[in-house]
Amino acid sequence: MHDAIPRLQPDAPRCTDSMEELLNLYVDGELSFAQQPALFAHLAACAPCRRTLDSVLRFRRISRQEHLAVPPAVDDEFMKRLAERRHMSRGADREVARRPLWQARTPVSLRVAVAAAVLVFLTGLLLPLSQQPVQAARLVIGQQEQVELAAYRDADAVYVFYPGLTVEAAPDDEPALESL
Amino acid sequence: MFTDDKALIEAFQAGDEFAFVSLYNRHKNAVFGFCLKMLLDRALAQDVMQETFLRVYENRERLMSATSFRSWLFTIARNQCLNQLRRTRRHVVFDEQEEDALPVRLAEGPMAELEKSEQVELVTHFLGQLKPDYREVLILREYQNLSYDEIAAITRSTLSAVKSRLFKARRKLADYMEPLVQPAPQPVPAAEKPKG
Ligand SMILES: [Zn+2]
Repeated sequence: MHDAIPRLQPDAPRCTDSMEELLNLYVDGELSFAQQPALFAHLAACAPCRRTLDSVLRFRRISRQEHLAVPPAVDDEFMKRLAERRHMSRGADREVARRPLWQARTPVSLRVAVAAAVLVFLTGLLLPLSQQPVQAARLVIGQQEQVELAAYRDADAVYVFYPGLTVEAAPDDEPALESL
Repeated sequence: MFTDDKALIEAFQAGDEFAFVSLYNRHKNAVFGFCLKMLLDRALAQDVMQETFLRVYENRERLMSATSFRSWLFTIARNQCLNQLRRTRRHVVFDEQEEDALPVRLAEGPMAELEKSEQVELVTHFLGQLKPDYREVLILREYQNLSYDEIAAITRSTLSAVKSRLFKARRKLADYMEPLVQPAPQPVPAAEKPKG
């Protein structure tokens, strides 16, 4: 009878809404023990509801066996976009002051980085704005007392941080930083 | 895991950017999965997933409590997805007459005999036939395993509205799937078949 229903029949008669609700609550683990016998008794007698239950559980099983993972290339892209956003949120004036400093030098050694950092720092002292990069300062890894500089690699640049000031170098310069 | 999440969120809100990267790594797959099933377009989903986390980053001060982080994250992802759907109108079926045809090779045999990847393709196809407001509750419940309360918070709905939409979504889904499911012998383990 019910099992003979061949194709999709949207207008086929349904069981009562309350029974459908019990079924859904049961599937979601929200049906109280007291209400379960009524549902099971109905399911035992009602093939359409059994098929609905079967479909819902089948969908769940299939949906949860699909592992959706972000590809590594997308992670890289995200880090790049994050760096860009961070970049945009920094002061444009500071950027203008910084750029010519390092763009002319490739590769950048630590010595050059420190020199540039000091230069930026001194420049900063002469400028009246509160332009120290707060976010950058929080990224400092200051485990060594003597060398408090830390390198942080972004997709498109290497940042050298010292509390309160930042030096940025092109990604090609990273080997120079790693050989500190 | 949850306590770790809480600690990470607090560190992130205090300005620790490494904590943010950790949060990204923990939740990126879930957000990506949600976006993919909402948009049914891999490239778009990757883009929206990224945009979601960028907004999290930029709006960190708006997050009131660390415990609601997941809801907040999915709220942002959902808004991004709905905006995207409005922009592209892709895979949005508002009229049942416009349903996409099921690929023949999937429509033929009983579902159980399909390869796993084909089963996934099949249910994804059915998901794509649902309206976005049905689809989102189904994805949040079945793929993300969120509670009714969480879904209500994310979709800015009442509990009863969530249930109503979820149940209707399942009903439609069952309508799509039932013709492809072989008559199951006794699918209900808990219910003993009564005599007579
Ligand atoms: Zn029934």
